[in-house]
Amino acid sequence: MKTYFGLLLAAASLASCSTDKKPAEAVNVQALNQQFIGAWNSRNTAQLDTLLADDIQYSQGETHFKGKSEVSDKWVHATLGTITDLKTYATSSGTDTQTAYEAGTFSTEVVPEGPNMPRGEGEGNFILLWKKNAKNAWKLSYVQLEGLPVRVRN
Amino acid sequence: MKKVSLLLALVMIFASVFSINTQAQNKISSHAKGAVIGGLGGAAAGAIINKRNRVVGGAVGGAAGAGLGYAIGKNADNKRKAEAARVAAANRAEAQRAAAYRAGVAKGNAVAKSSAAPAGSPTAAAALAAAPAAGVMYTLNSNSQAAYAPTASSGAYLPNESYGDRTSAYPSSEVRRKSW
Repeated sequence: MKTYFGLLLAAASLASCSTDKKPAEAVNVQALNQQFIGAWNSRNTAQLDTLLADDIQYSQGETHFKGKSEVSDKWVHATLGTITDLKTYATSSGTDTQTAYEAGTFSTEVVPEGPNMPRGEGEGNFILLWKKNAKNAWKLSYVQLEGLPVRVRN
Repeated sequence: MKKVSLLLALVMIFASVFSINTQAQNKISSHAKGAVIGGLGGAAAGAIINKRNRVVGGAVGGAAGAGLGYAIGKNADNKRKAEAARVAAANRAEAQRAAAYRAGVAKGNAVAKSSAAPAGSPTAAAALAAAPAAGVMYTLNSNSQAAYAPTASSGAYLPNESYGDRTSAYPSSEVRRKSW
């Protein structure tokens, strides 16, 4: 009887150990993108930099930038002052335990380049791919943009 | 004995003529060389063959040998000239290709400059400044037509200030496409 009781106790403890593993939480990619777009609209470069992965890749037209510093310098810092009111409209998205993406179209206002220059309305297509890094933090890993001709805003 | 010494003398003459010719190869043409060698060889052979009258034999042999040598040398000359002409034609064609490539690159650069210039030029700036007031912003009536060409859907697009800049996203687009 004593032996059976001991076995039962051991089985119960092992069973409790096995159920202790929680399933990985799926990330909310919409929340990630809202955070990212919000940082663009508030022109918060520090926050934008923290969201970029170290090995991020950026591609638009004939440009292809690699690495956090190059992308931050040639895309984020170079573009931040030239646009306002950035909006994204996702047409496709997906998540798993390691990656999350959202793709669709974007629209933004283009700031005049000179005192007598008109404002513009920019549109285009985008894909933002997020990946979980070694510290379990979600970072923007890949950005591909396709800009359509910028219209003069009336 | 007399015959042997004559033959030896002929061999020596041949040897000396050959050595002279190889040294002066660049100065004497092939057909001349062929004529000389053939003439000497023919003369010697004729003199040996015609034992009754060596002078006549030598003369006939010399003439025949010279003719044959001339023909062979001329043929070699023609072949060398044809090869030289082929090489020269290939070089000319290569030079023409290189010149066409350089001209193409220069033309491309000129087009890029001339297309990029209007946006920054005083005339274009004046047109840009005057355009809002006139209500004809960036239409085909403006000075730099290509940069502000409208489409069917909307009136006008912003010009691409980075047109021709290979480091920009859309260097070949005359209207601005980079917003985000």
